[in-house]
Amino acid sequence: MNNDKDIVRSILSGNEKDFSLIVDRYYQKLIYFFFKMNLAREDAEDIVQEVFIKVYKNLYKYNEGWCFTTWLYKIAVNTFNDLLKKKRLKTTNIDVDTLESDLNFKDLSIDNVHNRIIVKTMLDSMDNETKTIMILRYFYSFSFKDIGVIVNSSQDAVKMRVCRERGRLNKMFSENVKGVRSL
Amino acid sequence: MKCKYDIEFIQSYNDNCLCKEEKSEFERHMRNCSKCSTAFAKDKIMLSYFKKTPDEPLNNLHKQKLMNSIPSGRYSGNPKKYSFLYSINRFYPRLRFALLAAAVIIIIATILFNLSHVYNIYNTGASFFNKDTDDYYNGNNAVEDLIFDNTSTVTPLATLKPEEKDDISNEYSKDDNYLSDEELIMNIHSFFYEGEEYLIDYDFGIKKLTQSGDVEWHSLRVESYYESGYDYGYCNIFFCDGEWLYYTKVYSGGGSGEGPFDPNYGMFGKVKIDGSERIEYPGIEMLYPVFYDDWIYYRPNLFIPPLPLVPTYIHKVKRDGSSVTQVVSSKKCQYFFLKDGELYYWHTEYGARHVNQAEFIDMVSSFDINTGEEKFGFISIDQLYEVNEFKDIIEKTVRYLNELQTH
Repeated sequence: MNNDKDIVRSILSGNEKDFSLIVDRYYQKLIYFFFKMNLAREDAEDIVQEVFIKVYKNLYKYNEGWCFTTWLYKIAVNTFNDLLKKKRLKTTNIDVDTLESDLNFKDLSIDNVHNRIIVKTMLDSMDNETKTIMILRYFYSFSFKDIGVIVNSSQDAVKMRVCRERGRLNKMFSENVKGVRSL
Repeated sequence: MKCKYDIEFIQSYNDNCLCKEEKSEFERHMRNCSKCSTAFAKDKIMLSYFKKTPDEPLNNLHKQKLMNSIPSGRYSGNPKKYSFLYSINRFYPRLRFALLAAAVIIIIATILFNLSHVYNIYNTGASFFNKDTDDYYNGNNAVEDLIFDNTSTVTPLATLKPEEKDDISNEYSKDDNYLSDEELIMNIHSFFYEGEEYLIDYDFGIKKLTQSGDVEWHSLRVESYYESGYDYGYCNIFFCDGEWLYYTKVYSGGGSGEGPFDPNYGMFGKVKIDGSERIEYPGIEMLYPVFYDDWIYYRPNLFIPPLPLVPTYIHKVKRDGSSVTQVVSSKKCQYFFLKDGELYYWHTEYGARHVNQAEFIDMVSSFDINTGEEKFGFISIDQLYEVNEFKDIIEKTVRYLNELQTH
């Protein structure tokens, strides 16, 4: 069974063991999603577990007209937001003050530790919904339309938000980036 | 050289959304523009961060633990049920619009269906007694009022000339001890208690009719206007069985439109004439109540939002407040009335109909009260005297009017 919808149908017709196929497919992706949302490992694992339990319980509500991945991430994002509201989750933020002395990129590599800290700092300056949108767009390559479905917004609004956020981040830090000339 | 590229263009370049010519032109430009190359670099680094897979390794033990935590048996225990629900969900988006459209159609149809009914309610009420519009002589309403109200005095008033009627009104309505002609008409329903005759007041309670023709308030009052400060209603005492007075409080709407709506405003109640006991049944608002065989037949008040959803059928309730039942499902049934001890209801199109036999009887459906000319139907105003209920009421009214004039 390569198709998510076939797996769902199979589970609903009584083959519950097939749910492990869904877990196999999406466990890693969901864990990474919450890592990228700056959750600690324990929190990320707890929330992924909660998401899969919700997916299992509500599987019969899934509509074949929707993309399964979109539906699953919608549940994940809603669960994340619910837990944040209940303050059961705490995202780890980087202390921006320690970076103020040098906010310049060292080179064009994200593997550079300094650069990575700077970008993490940028991410911390975003609200959770914007961060969610950016991750869904650039880590998972979701379309603007699907992201709109996941975060309950319109396609155009998401597109505009991504564009503005990238512009804002670009302006946020010092213009001096070393290594640009090597392009 | 002035730079013509903005950040959005640079983002498009990084997203690989430009055509080949635009790309090569921009790349040439970037070699000489530090601003663009810097913006490009920062955007690229940020994107690479978003795109980069986290370094943290996965915990396979947790995955196994997760699988064990998934509850089992939900779908294998009842596959038919969930397969059915799943197939319903497939059509839900289209079904949703269909249901919405159906709901809108039902609401509009209900409103339209009720409009004529509501109009009839208004048309058969107190407007008959509106002297400003001279509705005393509106024959179309007159018969209906005569029949359902049991208190109407159409004939005596009609025999007076308008000037005389006005004289009575002007002279006596100034004094609280006397009833205005409007009050008189509304309150002419009376009863005897311990040898004295009492008039039932439409609004507040009982007025005692003295030998001299004076009117004084009986100690028992039934309050009608609600104390909410916004909403108002009226009380109608409609029957006396010698021990109890039966009344209904009817919600009439918000005075300013700002008041809270309380569906329990309206009620059916009874109070002993000596005031020693009172029982009220909230939620039963009666329009045109009439007693028959230990039951009170009535039309539920319509002034309760949402209007189209309120049942408009005729109901009956036992005088002890129990067993409220819908008795006539036809929306053409406007109200009940008694004739020769039998219960009839007024059909808005065909006139009167016996409640049990469901046969039409010959009744006046419209006439000009001023000229006595019958527009429809088969009996004259004189024949209405033969209906005992009307005869008593009319005689009392005539006597009372004479007393007032004498006074």
